Amino acid sequence: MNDFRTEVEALRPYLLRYASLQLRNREAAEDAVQETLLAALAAERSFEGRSNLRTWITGILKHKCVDALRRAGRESPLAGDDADSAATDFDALFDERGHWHELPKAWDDPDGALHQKQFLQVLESCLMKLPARTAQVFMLREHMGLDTVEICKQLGITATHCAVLMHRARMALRLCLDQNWFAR
Amino acid sequence: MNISCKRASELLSEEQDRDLSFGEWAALKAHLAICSGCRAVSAQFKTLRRAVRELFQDKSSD
Repeated sequence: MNDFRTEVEALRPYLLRYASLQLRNREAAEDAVQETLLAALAAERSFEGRSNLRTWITGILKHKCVDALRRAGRESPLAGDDADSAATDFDALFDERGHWHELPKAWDDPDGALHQKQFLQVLESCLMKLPARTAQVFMLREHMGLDTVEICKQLGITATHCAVLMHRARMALRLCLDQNWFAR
Repeated sequence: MNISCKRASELLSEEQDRDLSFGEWAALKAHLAICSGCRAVSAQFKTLRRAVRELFQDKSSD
């Protein structure tokens, strides 16, 4: 194998972790990574002169992930819509007047946490606990940096539904981090 | 009009994804002024955004 090929192959585990978090489906993640590696190898010449191989390949992978989600959305619109089970847990956070059952407390030293590897591992496990559809929408927004109008369009969901999923994701993640990191 | 904590948490989330209307923004600010729980959540949502961005940062390159 030439150097370029070796370097590209070495990124496979990283790319698989990235795609798995985004797609929430092992098989789909492996497909997206495989397509990405092939595309990268075919485009070696267009990489020449760029500084960072990983950044460049991650850019290709992002497109493959969005394609995969778009295809999945077309085949089964709103399939695996995990809203119902999540809604039940979620409503338990508030009383009938919409006040917190348990008043949230400020996190202690969030800046310090961001620099700790263990904290990021806790975050990753919290992300994996989100229902699949909720996680996909959240990650397209926060991980890939798409705007919500674009996400709705790609996944074929309404703006309202998108906002609901984003809210659920953020609430679930803040609770998960609260319980598994900040309350320790 | 005072909004509920549930509504405030929705607006805190939406604020990260779109511009709130003036009415929404004003109601949210008024609520935050009197609710420490929602102020905590406001900060936590911002931390969350930064944390997800940290997940795939490669400190050794770029």
